[in-house]
Amino acid sequence: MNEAQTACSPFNEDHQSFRQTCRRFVSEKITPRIDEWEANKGYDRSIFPEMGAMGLLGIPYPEEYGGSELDFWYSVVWMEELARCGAAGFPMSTMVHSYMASPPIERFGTQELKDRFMPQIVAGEKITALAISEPGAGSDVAGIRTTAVRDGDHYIVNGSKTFITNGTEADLLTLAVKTDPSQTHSGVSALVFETDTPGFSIGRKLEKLGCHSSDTAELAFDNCRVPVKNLLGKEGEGFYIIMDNFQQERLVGAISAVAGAELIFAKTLEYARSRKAFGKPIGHFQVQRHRFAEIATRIEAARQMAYHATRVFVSGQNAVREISMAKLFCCETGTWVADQCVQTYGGWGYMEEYPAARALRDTRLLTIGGGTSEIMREILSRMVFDGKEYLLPEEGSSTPDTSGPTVSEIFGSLPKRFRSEKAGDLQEVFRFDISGSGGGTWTVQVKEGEMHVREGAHEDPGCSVQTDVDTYVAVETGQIKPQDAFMAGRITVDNIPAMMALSGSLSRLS
Amino acid sequence: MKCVVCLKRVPDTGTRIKIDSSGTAIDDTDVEWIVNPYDEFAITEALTHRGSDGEVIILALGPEETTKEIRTALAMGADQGILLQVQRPPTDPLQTAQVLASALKELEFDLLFFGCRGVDDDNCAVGPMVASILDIPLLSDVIQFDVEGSKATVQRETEGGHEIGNMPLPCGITTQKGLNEPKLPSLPGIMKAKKKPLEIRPVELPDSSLEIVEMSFPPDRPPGKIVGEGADAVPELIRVLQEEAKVL
Ligand SMILES: Cc1cc2nc3c(=O)[nH]c(=O)nc-3n(C[C@H](O)[C@H](O)[C@H](O)COP(=O)(O)OP(=O)(O)OC[C@H]3O[C@@H](n4cnc5c(N)ncnc54)[C@H](O)[C@@H]3O)c2cc1C
Repeated sequence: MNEAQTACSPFNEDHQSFRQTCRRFVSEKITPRIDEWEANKGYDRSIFPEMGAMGLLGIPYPEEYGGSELDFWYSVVWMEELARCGAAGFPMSTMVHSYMASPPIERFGTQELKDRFMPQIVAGEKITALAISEPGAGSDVAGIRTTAVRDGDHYIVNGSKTFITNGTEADLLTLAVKTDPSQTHSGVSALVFETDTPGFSIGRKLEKLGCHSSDTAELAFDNCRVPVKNLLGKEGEGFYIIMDNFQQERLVGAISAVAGAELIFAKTLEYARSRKAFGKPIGHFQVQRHRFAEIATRIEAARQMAYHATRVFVSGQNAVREISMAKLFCCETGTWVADQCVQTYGGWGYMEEYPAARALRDTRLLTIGGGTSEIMREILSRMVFDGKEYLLPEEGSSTPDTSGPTVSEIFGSLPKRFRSEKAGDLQEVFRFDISGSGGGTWTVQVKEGEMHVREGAHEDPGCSVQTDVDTYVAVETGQIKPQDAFMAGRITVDNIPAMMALSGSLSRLS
Repeated sequence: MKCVVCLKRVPDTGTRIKIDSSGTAIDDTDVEWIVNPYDEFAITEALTHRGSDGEVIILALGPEETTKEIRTALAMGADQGILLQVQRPPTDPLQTAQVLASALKELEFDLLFFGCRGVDDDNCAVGPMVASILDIPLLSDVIQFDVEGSKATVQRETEGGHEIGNMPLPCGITTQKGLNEPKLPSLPGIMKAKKKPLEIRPVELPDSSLEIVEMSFPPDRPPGKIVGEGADAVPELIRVLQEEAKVL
């Protein structure tokens, strides 16, 4: 880096000194083994405790679990350096462990669960996997069919998962299940699943196009008993937990994509300096030189986008827009760069002797895993065209319509829409604070199979809801899904199960 | 044990070295600096001999930027650092040895560690010079080091063999590859290192009678020669080695 670049870099001296550690660790402990892991279609799990001992698996986690609790830029450094091992598969497995599968345990697990598992996760003694996708549901998370039926203080889990990274090695799964198959989003729950549970089996290790140094498996669950205390969050909150996790997961995807592109580009430049055709190094032909200028420019654009998304994410603001854009652009750039590099290598680009072939097949995953490019475009099109600010991934939601009922008309409609047969044994007082013009405070009480609605604050609520007029109307008229508004921070609810039971008991506003 | 490790900041071995306009020194713009790789063995070894009530002190002579390399050593696990600060590190190993020795006189150590050489100037001189100024025993190129009570047992590499020797404490060694596997600083180590004491003491260099007259690159190596392939090439290879290279 020259001086100007150093001055504009998001990394301080501590990040850079950590980078030196990462670089050496990768070049001494991982790079020499990566070809073997690629050939074996999986890594040697002894590398996990080695990474753990170096503190590389606990960067964001609290010290009480053996972590370092450092800002996300340290994680960025680690991702960038890990990419230099020369394959994308093993880094993906590591990222799944640290940034996709274990964060829900740390964020939503009970203290007991965290005390039990987090130290082993941070030390690399237990490997984790995130098990959401199923043969019949990938992009459509709410469409999963694996069930968890309550039996005393256990759930009985039945079903199957597929495409699960670390599937054959994992000791723990962060597992998405349906606790209420009659519901879509609100029927999803998340469990910590120990893979030594009787009834669990690894269906098969999947043969893939690339990312060979990472194992990917089909998993089967046959009457597996999971303690209820392994639940993450509350029953029915699984969808939110998964959505919450997606932002970080996608950011990791974007950063890794840029790091991988940079690496194969550097190797390609080296090759173009030494390979001769017609008496000259091929890098002297203008078409090649201009290709390099184009690649360098797009990589730089992608990097700045990933760093910008990181900045917004680190600041704690809603980063859905920036992260979705970065995931889309960086991952598409990553696959494009690998393709261009193969072209510069010519025939050797197609051969295993040179790194371009591996880069091409490894990067093909980028626009599919962790939310496809189509899904990113879906999210973004709703933001840029429909003017929705914070929507999270959801297929096929309709365009909003701006003329709608007033807030007081909606509250007036509630008792008529209440279906006591759908309310189960719900007995609760709800307080709604709706801000903005036309808003106000309402108290909704469900008692002995009846609903009473009054304007103002009355009985002590067991569930408080805060939102604004636009959001409330949009949710009630079906323009925004409640889970999206909730995830976007536009509605806050302190008793989610009660709120869900209430929503489930209301017929649609006509 | 109270251990002192003398550390040098050197250009990364991967750096492309340029000679500056004076022709007598390297041009240090764009140079990446690292802890001398042999000193990493020294730090790692010192840590294994520290024991529960001991301490590992890092002593370095160099410009202010050397604090970065000292922090790396602290991140590996050393307890405190002392930088003997000069504008430019001396090229005369005797100057280095004199400055280090005068600081060491105040430290009352049990064990003193050096790398067997700095990968920059390759003099292999500072360790033995310091030991003779301090009048303590030192063995160089050590590949195994054991301390029991007030006696150290040392295995060192010699041409074609090994030599085993004993020394009373306090004593010193210079470390050779093979002594241990150097520790990499862990992330928690890096964080803890920031809070460890690091003292900076400006020092004056004594006079030197050594003058660098000129620096130059070695001549380009002549291209290799392929005499053939497989077993058929052996007779020709032997002929070339005997008659042209004259090594057989
Ligand atoms: C190597 C690898 C590792 C993986 N690791 C894991 C893991 O560890 N854990 C896990 O849970 N999952 C994992 N996955 C699964 C991955 O997340 C899914 O493959 C991905 O989300 C896409 O889902 P799908 O494959 O079911 O495709 P589908 O959802 O069936 O999509 C097929 C096509 O339709 C498009 N599409 C879908 N919906 C829409 C829409 N609304 N609008 C426009 N286009 C749409 C998609 O973009 C895609 O082009 C992994 C996948 C791979 C290949």
